[in-house]
Amino acid sequence: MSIPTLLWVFFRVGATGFGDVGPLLVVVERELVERRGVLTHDDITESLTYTRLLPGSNVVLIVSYLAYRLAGWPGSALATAAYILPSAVVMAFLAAGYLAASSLPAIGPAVIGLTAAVVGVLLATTYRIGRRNLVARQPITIVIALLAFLAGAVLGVHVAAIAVTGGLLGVLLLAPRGVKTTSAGG
Amino acid sequence: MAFELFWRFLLVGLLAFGGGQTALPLVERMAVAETGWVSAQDFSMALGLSYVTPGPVLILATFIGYQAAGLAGAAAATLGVFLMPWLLAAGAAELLRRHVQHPWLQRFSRGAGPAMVGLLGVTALSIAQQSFRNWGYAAIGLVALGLAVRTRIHPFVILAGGAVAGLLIGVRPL
Repeated sequence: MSIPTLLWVFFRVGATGFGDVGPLLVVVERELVERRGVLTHDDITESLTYTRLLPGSNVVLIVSYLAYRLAGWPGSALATAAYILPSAVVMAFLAAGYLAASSLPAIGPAVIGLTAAVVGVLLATTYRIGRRNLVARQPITIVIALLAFLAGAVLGVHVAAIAVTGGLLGVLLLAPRGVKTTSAGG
Repeated sequence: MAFELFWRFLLVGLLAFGGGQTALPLVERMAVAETGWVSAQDFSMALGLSYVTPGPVLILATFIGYQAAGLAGAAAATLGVFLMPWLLAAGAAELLRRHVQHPWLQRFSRGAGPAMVGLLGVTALSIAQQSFRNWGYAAIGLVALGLAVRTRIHPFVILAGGAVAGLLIGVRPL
């Protein structure tokens, strides 16, 4: 597959998706498996398997993985950039607009209202991700979550330290392979 | 400044186990609490807008980078947050396949996940402290929570509703 075509496909995907894995896979399957035949369904499944445990946005991981399969390091770098570019440009414009609009009198209460709604949405996210990550049969996961909350809210420990400590506790204390848990996504 | 944006967001990308949404507390703690690059309101706006834009939610880094240091900041933050995931995923495609399913990595991820849940709580609390000025705003938060948990309404719609509600509350005498 030629690099320009690769870039164009991923640019379009990045410009029209919604940052979710589901829609991304639908488009990728249609464009790269069915229309152009450069990948197989197994390749797609593989990309999910091998990026599942990696840090970062799931959609970016999948794009990077598949683009590497298609066109090596340079192709992967360019295709990932092409995927991210549309959102980045839009965001930069929105940020500039926000800065310009911040002097308007209506902005204050509207943004506070939006901020209040963000709290609700974040708590909902906490609940959803909590359900996936906190396993009743492994109470250590609940302990880690509580300790992380206390460390962050009360002690003001650096957030990266909390994340790494949680991971290390997982390595040391969590049950070995064979105990089924679902991984977080999104 | 641009370099600091780059390496701090690089750290975010490296620790974003569980995906973009799970990593939001990393961004909020860093960009609001630790560096003061943006206010809680600005962060909320960045998050709301990231739901509107097509790509991953971590694109809010671009917004924050722009607020902190203009276009150069936006570029630095964007590059930082996506660089490591790209590197690791492309590496996994050929070279690191053996290592990517290592049991230690599995367990690290299963330990980091709960830590992120706790941190999400910290972030929510921190933003709440700065935005709940009166019971009206607390009500907005509760309604948003209910809608987000119970319905499939897109987060952006909920946030836009919050903004409108905020306007309505704001114009009434307190």
